[in-house]
Amino acid sequence: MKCSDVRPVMDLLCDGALENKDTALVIDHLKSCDECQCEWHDLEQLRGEFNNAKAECQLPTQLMRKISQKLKHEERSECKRLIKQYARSIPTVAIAATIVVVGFLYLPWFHRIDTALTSTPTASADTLVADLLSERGLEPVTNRNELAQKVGYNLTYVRLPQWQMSQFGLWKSHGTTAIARFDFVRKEQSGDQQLTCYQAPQGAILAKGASLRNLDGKHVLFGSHDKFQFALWSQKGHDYLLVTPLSKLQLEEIVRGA
Amino acid sequence: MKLFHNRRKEFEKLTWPLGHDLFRLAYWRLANQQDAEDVVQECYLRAFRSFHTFRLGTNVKSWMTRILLNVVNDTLKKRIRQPDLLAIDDQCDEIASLQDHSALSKDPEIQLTEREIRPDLLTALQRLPTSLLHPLLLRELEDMTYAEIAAILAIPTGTVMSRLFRARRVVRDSLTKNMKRIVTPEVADHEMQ
Repeated sequence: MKCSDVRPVMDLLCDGALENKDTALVIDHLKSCDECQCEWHDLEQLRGEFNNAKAECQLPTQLMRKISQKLKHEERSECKRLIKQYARSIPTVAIAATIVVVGFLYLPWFHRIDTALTSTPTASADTLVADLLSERGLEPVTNRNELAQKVGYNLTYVRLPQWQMSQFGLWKSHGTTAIARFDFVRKEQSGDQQLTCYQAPQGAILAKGASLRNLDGKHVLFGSHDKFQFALWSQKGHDYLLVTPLSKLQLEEIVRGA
Repeated sequence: MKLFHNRRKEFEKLTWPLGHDLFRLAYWRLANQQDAEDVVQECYLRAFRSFHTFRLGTNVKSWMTRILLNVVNDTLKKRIRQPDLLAIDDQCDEIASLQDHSALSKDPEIQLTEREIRPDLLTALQRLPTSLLHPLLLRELEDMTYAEIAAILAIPTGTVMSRLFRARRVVRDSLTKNMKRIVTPEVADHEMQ
């Protein structure tokens, strides 16, 4: 091994980072080379200087106690800082909590409006007319409040000035949406005339095969079943179905005024 | 509060045994006992504040040493900004005068320690640029491996080796020159007799 090979790895030998094989080669060279031996001696001397320096430096006895006190102080400051931070966020938390509570309280109400305004189809106009013809499917109710409770939504009434309500109740359905039924009578010279009005949440009544007509801005589906005429339209979130044995023209007049 | 208390206890348990090593490193880097104490205190405070970032199971000594060297760098920058304080790269005479001044004004414990400083070695070290000084101090004073030094200083292991090689030569040459300066007058006196 040459001196130029040994010098760069001498530090590695000094640090114990040289592989065994190379260590043996370097040591062999050192035994035979005075210059490198001198260099090695210098390195070892320097290492000795550092070892002495290490031993001389003592940790001041009070230093760790001072640090401990500072850490305790820091700990208290951090705690106070966090408390202040939480205190600042209390109004925000209170507002958020209020919104959640109010939302929770009013959710059923919103849900009710939602179901009242849009509903899945429950009955067809033909079925309702058929039930009317067979004089079945009515569950009579004594007063309107009770009826409103049973249907589960706010009832609104169409304007039928010449007609008198004879009875009202709940149409017995198997669907999820309740349908209210109002029967009216009008006395004429030729005899009593009948009119029935079904009321349900919008979208609950279907009228297949009916023809659409625009009556003074009101979109009405007209149809007939057996000897009865019917008219179906939606108004203020409700479906209205008028059924009568009168002629279609007469029914149009009634719908116009309703 | 208890949560904070436990956190501090855990921190102290991990870092307390390193106090001596950190102080020694700061002391030999700054050549001033008071500055070294301040730096070690600041190092512990910074480490405590960022203790949540420390991953348990990793090398706590490397972590603390990295923080200490950052604090040391900040202290040295402050010295440069404040010219009335002594700069770290000042020469031996200035260090000696600082030590003399310290000896007059500081408590006996500090005086004792500062008298024990090896001025020739200290001077030789202070003449080294930071890039050479830090690897040398970490290797010789802290007995760190090349890999640990590389991780702390964020440099490749090969660079650590080459810097150590250069640093040792510079320090050795500096010490040799100093020795010659001391020996020469003695020879002259002997010749006069």
